[in-house]
Amino acid sequence: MFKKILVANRGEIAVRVLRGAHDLGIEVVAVYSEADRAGLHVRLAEEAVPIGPPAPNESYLNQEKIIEAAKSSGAEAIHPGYGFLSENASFAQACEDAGLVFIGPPPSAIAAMGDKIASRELVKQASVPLVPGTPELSNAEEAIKGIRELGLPVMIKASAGGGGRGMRIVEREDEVDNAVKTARNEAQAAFGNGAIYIEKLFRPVRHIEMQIMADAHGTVVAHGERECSIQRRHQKLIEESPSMAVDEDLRRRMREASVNAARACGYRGAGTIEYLVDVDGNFYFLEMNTRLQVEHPVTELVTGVDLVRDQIRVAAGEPLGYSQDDIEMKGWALECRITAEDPFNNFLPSVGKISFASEPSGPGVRVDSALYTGFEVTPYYDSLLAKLCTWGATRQIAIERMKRALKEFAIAGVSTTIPFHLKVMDIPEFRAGKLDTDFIARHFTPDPDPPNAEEAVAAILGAAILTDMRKRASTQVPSSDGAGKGANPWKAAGRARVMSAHGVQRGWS
Amino acid sequence: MATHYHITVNGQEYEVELQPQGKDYRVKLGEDWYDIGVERMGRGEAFMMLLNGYTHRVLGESTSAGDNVLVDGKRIPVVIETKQQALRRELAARSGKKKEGEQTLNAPMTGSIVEVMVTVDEEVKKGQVMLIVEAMKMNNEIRAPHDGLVKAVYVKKGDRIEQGAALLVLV
Repeated sequence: MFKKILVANRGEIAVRVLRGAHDLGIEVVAVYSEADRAGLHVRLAEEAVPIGPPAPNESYLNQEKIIEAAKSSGAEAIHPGYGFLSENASFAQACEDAGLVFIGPPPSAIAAMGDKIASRELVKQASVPLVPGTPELSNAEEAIKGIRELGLPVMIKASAGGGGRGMRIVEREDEVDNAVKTARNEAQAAFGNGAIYIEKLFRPVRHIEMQIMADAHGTVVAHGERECSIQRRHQKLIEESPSMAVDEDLRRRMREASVNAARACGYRGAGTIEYLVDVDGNFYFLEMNTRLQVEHPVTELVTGVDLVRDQIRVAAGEPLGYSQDDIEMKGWALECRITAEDPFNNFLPSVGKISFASEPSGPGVRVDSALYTGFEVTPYYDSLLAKLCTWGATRQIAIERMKRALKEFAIAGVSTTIPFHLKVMDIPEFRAGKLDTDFIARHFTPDPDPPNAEEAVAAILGAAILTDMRKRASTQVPSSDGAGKGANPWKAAGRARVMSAHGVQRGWS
Repeated sequence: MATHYHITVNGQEYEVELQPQGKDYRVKLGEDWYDIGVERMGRGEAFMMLLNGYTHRVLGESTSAGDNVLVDGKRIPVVIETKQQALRRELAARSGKKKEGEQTLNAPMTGSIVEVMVTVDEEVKKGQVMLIVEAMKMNNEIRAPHDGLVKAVYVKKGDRIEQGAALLVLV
């Protein structure tokens, strides 16, 4: 087993991976950009190496600096987390070339699954059902031909696309020319690869994925499905496991297909195969994500498996140590992604300092986050603040626990999606499990509930008290005689000047 | 010593009289007096309020768009003024000094301009997308808050913008 690994990521996933490593008695080297020096992953790690300015291109995507940090700190392996370099075949290769273990699949498997057109061909050979579609398109005429075969509506997709980018829906034939052009340009600009193809668009449809894990000794298991249909603009917001739409028979077939897909590309480590499931219970391969998923905790909660632990063990060459028959899904798990966005203002990102943070806990609650009071939400990285997960013996219990935990969760300083999740937990169709990928567009009304009488009174009284506290705090600031312990009178005087310039009553910091 | 504040919540203005009692407070709202127990949570603007046997968690928040209090997790925008500030505002409104309906839209976040979809003198409808700003790897639409006329556009495609920067003026 490794003695020391480097975690090439930030935020909640860096903390999650670090904890998995610590549970194995492995020391962790954190890396951080200038914006993240105060990060929780840095605090919890044994060692920490600065890797550059805040912009990801100059830090978390800088392969040379990260490999150099691993070499100089004596780390034996690199865990990439998700995002950043996690699905970059050339980085995985560069790690190998530098004598480091990349905690993930072989570079060839990343490359094979990174190209959507090639991966469709590959899994088709392994008898995995595909979303009906075309090969690569070379012109608009081929697109028209493809559309006539598939039937409208369709989705034009970039072969190198991901995370909701490089996709265009076509509803009418006269939109094809334009959609082909823009999709190609967008793909070229975003991924440096303009290859596009067409997939049939199912509506309504569920987005359900299967977690797999493969070791270097020929064992491949499929843990179970995750329901990820609650999305907004192709970004997942709420996930759960198991799925209401998957019965034992469908689960068995999805597991089999997923294991076949993993074997087809010589896979090792944790991976996820994403499928569309139509109203008749047919499933179709969408793509394979060759990394740990954001939503992996729901699988961990229902199976009791520690996926990060297994990733590290498998990368170190250990056999997985359990087989398909050992995997049992128990109860129900939900995950709400708490992001720094304003759900009542078009999910506009919100940046700023977290002036107060208090996380929920108690029975059946798990929080994966890198939050703390004083945490600065910057514009450089994605807006995920925390993943709030609950487990219950039944879906109903997991939902009630989620409501309780969302109410306990206190975050001030930036807008968050907590009120959004609270609303969704009360939507009857959500509670009934009637989900599809258009659920949010159809059911979420982006209006905040106005305060009721009791809340309004509490807000008025609370606002008055806060203002008074603030006034008292500013007048109790020690003057130049330095009465306050360790206080800096110059700073206090400067702050008072700034405050009076802005009108003393404005703003609690 | 009692302090008076004017607090606006949900479009309604309330006058409040505040009497500190040690770390607790006596507060008059309308004709009613409230005895409020206060327990602070940490060093920030966060405390628990004990009010007639009910507990409320209150968090203060100050943003570029104004002040909020979070009452048991519900974010409620508030405007807090001293008696003098409220009086001044009222006088200004009465003498009609306030500019009619001109509104500068500021950048809600640091990012870059992906697309400018309106031009000067263009009429826009409430909810119409006027600009697209990229931040945190996402494209965000800046929509018209009300029907109006674009009076000025300060940014162009590709510009880097800081939070709070003026983007355009709507009348």
